[in-house]
Amino acid sequence: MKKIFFILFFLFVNVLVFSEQNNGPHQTLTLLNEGKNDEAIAQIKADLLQNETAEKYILIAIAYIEEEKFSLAEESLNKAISLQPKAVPAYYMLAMLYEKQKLWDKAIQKWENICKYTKNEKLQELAQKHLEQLKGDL
Amino acid sequence: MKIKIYILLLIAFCFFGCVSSNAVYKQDYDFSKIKNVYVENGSYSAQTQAIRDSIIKQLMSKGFNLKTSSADADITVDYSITEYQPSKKYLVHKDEPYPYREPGPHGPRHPNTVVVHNDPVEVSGSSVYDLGTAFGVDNATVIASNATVGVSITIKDVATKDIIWTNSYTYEGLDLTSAVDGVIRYILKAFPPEQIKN
Repeated sequence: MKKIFFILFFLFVNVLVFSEQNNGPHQTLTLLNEGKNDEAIAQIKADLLQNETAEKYILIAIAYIEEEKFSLAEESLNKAISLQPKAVPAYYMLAMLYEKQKLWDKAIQKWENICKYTKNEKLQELAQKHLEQLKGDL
Repeated sequence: MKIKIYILLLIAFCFFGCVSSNAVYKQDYDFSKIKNVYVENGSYSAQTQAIRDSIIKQLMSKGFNLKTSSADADITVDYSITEYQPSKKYLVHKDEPYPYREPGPHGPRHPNTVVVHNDPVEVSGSSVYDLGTAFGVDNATVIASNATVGVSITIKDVATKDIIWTNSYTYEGLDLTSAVDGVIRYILKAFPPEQIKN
């Protein structure tokens, strides 16, 4: 009887933990969608204290970009890459960010990384297109 | 001999393959005489103003005199927006991985095809990327679309009213401002065209 009770309790706790994990990103995305960027940032920061992942750093970078805090976004994206060296979304956002800042050399480097790591044909084409134009700017 | 032809063909392929500009121009027009330029106003919307400002900026940086009236200009620059998409992000759910599925209404469906189930959570703002099975949500992924702007530019000679140059392009950016800057920069990169003088 005790065993059954213990198993049921264990399952209940697991469900709670996982449902909370699953709600996190939805909630954060909803906050971003509503323009509550500060709240989203605070939420991701709290999540990062528990567990650092590349995805969380990418998500916080999205929020920083919304807030036009580009240097913080760059820092977060570089952290994402240090945790996951083939994090294509991080390279993608950095490439776009550097293009916005007219840092052509850095943008080229990131687009080249995208070409190297992505299997997505559309993204490959996009990267080639940007590389062609940016190399022409140098 | 054959090897030489292949090498020449390869060089020619590389040369033309690298030319991305769609610019078309009147071959017998003397582009070197252009000094004064007027950029059409278009409709007074935020979109057209952003495009117009960017065209003016690019042309000034190329050394042209920008005029406020077409009467004082050698050429007029007209433009139309072919695409203007602010960036959006979506939380979508991936299809369940099946070994094979019957073709759907939009063609065959493969495992890992990204389809939108229910209502996607749209996040206004910047940036097309797949964050993978993200944030602990099974079969979920964040796909974001970047800002995309497409513009077509036509240049006319004021005296003859002839169209002398045209080009169009689409470019992506982190936001609309950088997409507009990019598209105008790459369209006008081919203006004025390099002409071979006899």
